Amino acid sequence: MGEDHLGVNDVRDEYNLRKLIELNNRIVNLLVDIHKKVEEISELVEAEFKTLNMQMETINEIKELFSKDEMNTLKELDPTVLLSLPDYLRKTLMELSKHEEATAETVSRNTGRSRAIESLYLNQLCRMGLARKKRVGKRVYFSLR
Amino acid sequence: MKTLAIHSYKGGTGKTFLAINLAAQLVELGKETVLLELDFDAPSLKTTLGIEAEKWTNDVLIRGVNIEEALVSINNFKVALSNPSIEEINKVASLRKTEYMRVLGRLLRALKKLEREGIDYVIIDTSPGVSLMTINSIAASDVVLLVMREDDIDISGTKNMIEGIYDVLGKEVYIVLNRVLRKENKEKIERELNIEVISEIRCSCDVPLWKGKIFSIENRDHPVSVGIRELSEKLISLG
Ligand SMILES: Nc1ncnc2c1ncn2[C@@H]1O[C@H](COP(=O)(O)OP(=O)(O)O)[C@@H](O)[C@H]1O
Ligand SMILES: [Mg+2]
Repeated sequence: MGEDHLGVNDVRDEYNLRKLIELNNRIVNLLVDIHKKVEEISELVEAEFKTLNMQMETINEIKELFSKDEMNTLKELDPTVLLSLPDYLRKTLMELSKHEEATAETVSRNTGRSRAIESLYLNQLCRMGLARKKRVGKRVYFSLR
Repeated sequence: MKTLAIHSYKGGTGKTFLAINLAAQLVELGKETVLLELDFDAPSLKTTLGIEAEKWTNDVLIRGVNIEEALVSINNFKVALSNPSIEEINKVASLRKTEYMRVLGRLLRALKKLEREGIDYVIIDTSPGVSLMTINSIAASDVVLLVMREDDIDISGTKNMIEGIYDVLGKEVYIVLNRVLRKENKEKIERELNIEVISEIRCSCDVPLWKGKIFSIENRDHPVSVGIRELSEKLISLG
């Protein structure tokens, strides 16, 4: 067989080679795509971590605020407590003091703040040992300790 | 409705005298006014005004009696007195600390009731110093009038009290200098306490002679009366 003539086998080889290269290119492209996606994902995860960290910081700040010694050793609820509370909690405590027991709804009506926020503050007062709560059916009633 | 606490660090500064006359002058200026005596340690309104009562602020705040039942009329304003009997003074002195939180609740409810009745001003005559009842009175008030005697000033004690109670509770405070002889101390006090002296009331030996009467009503043109009337006008203009 002369060199100028390509045999059947040569043609098949050439065809296979081209196929192989094509396949190779597709794989490379896919890998590039995957790499891009992985980068995007890692960016997203990093951002999530940042917000999570920020949230953890706030939670720790709140924890610290309420684990102060004076709060922990607080046994009696008397008016000097008014002097150690942050403004927003004092407002809730003073409103609660007007009632034998009250729901977050009742408290919020008189403080002019939302029910959800008063519920949060009332529960904080409970955790600090300044108020207690009891559930009656669907409703939660708070009272001074 | 505005609730004014008349307070001082020391006793004998003229709180009770000022509370009575401020109430009388606010009425003269057309304001519906109620005077509450919340000095359970040393009640003095009953003898100072020479009036009788069947129910007392003690009953309202300790036993939950309706505020209406304790109000007595005098000179077109109403007043509720603290019970001066020894048994009652001892009773209050032996209250458990925790009971004072309930006392605050009853005080806040009584004030709300007065507001609904259309009262414009409630004047609270408090006990001096930093007792639990005082914290309650101040916590329940909108404005504090800090009464200081010009001839007997305890700046450092007063300063502690301002920082420890008024500032923490975020109250609007004005100083009334009483028994003023020389008018020399205003700037010094304002500088050291960083609070405006809203009024200087002259010292006058006529004042103690009018027990059982309302001084500023009986002696309208007296400089002490004029001073208190101007203070009332200023308070009204503050809104
Ligand atoms: N501007 C004044 N000039 C003279 N005496 C006064 C003046 N203000 C009050 N007083 C007198 O001082 C004494 C103490 O006053 P009071 O009102 O009972 O003080 P507090 O209630 O602060 O203890 C009373 O005898 C009163 O008449
Ligand atoms: Mg007095």
